[in-house]
Amino acid sequence: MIDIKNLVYQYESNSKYPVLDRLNIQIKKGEFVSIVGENGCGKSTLVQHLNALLIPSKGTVQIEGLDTKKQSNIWSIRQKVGMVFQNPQSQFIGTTVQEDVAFGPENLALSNHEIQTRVNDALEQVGMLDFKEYNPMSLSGGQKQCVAIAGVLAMKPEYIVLDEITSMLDDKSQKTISDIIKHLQKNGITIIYVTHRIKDVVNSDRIIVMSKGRILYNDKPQTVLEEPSLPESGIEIPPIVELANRLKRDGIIDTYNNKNLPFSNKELLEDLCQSI
Amino acid sequence: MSINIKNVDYSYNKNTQLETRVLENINLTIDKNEFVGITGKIGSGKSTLIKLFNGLFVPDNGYVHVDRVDASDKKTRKKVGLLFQNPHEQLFSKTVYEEIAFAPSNFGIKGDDLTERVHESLHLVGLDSKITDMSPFKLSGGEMRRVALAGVLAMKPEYLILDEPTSGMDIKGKKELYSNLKRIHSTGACVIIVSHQIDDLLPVVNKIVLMDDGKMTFAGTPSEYLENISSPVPEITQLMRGLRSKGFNVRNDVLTVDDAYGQIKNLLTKK
Ligand SMILES: Nc1ncnc2c1ncn2[C@@H]1O[C@H](COP(=O)(O)OP(=O)(O)OP(=O)(O)O)[C@@H](O)[C@H]1O
Ligand SMILES: Nc1ncnc2c1ncn2[C@@H]1O[C@H](COP(=O)(O)OP(=O)(O)OP(=O)(O)O)[C@@H](O)[C@H]1O
Ligand SMILES: [Mg+2]
Ligand SMILES: [Mg+2]
Repeated sequence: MIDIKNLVYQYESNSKYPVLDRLNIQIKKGEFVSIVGENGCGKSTLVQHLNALLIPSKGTVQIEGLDTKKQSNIWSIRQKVGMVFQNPQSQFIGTTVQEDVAFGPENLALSNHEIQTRVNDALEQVGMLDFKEYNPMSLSGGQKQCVAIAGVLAMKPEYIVLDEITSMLDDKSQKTISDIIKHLQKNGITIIYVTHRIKDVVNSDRIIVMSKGRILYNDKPQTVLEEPSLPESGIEIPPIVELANRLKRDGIIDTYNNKNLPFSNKELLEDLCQSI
Repeated sequence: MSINIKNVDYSYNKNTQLETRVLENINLTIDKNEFVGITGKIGSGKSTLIKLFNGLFVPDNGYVHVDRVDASDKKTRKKVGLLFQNPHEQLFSKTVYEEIAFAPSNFGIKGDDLTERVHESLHLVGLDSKITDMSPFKLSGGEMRRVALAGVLAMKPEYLILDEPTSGMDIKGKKELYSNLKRIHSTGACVIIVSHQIDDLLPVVNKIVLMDDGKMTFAGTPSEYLENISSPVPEITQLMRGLRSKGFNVRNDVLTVDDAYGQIKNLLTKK
């Protein structure tokens, strides 16, 4: 589990105020937690604490009891927690896509055969196997994002942090990624997912809404998405949820499967067909 | 006044083993008074296409003209402002101020006019003037994108081309951006947006261009798009089309929550 206690973080060059302000967050093993909030509220800063890229100014971050402050823990923490950055460009190391994806597993003392298998599997999963020999820098924006995701999948970490990975993906690759996430979830992998697209996170166990370095809400998607003050916190409510909210208020659709609201197109369509 | 793209082919890594053609026989005219959305799968050639519009890339065959002059001509470069998909491709200055002042100062704007232009652009993208001395690389992802955008807006280009301008932007920023773009368009500039978010494009543009594997497979008005294209369409449209296919009498071009809500209410009163 991940245990964040009283986390305060202040960038050196930005000395006026702390970017993270006394955060307390627990994430259980196997949970799928999404983090949303307006630009600059501290999401990327927060998640960079999870693999010890950033060290708290105050408070503690522990990954399965390993304190990120302790230099000797960093290697084990990075093996446990894989991270896809908001800007994949900054993450590429190899001169070909396959070298790049192999970089993580190569550091894990695996056999060459195992490395090759993992690289191919990961690229296959994100639909980029045909681009194996390409230079990652000469890929399109969306293709780069897919390769960056493959890089983390190939490491098979227990915790995966994804920072805005779908911002440049088309519908098809978004679907691919959400299927990958479902699969990881089934295998007990913990997922921490930062995004602006609430649509991506309706399947998560919990949504954390941040504002100005603090936590505004930390609850089940159903509860958070029905929060009347949510729009004021700068969070986009997906059109399908907004429509469902209105239809439910009018009593046109009922509750469904213990869920307060239908979240997806398919669910709402089924509800509507029953109700009309 | 228009951008004219005629019989354009483009390949990367020309004359090497790695040569790959990524644009094939593109024909498209964009009039100065248009608001255009370009969409299509990842890797379909959108970013490559718009880099031909400001002369950054030169077509292998065919031509790209801006107001009847070749797009790579110096004169046209001033007219066309391009926001790159990745802000890291765009940003290079030590401070936010220098970044935004770069283009206008190259166009001869100085002193108070320049300062004013910088602050005006920052305001347009919803950033605080306090950040002018910060490094653009020490900002959050969304803030960085806004700075890159401010840099392009500060040029006041006649043709404003934005590659995925809202990716990573919060909803407030996105709404503000679209309302600013509508205003900029109404003052006579041509606006061209590349985006995967068809939901955002359809209600504002007058022309949609769909790319698929280096080819242009559709160009037309949003209503023609909805008539002819089954995917990608907005989720609300998909939902209403789903109802329609189940035999309910609703339109197939519903775009907004309001419209969908009205149509569903209508079904119930008729019953
Ligand atoms: N390297 C840095 N040095 C100084 N300040 C920084 C640095 N990186 C980010 N900041 C500031 O810290 C705050 C939080 O940034 P962070 O990147 O965590 O936001 P975010 O929630 O991820 O935003 P976005 O949605 O735009 O990606 C912002 O005000 C930002 O300007
Ligand atoms: N510098 C480059 N060198 C070689 N090939 C490239 C280069 N840039 C892009 N490509 C290839 O050209 C094709 C089109 O890329 P482009 O960036 O135009 O796509 P796109 O439609 O903008 O995609 P996305 O939505 O992912 O940004 C892709 O297959 C890509 O791999
Ligand atoms: Mg961020
Ligand atoms: Mg692109």
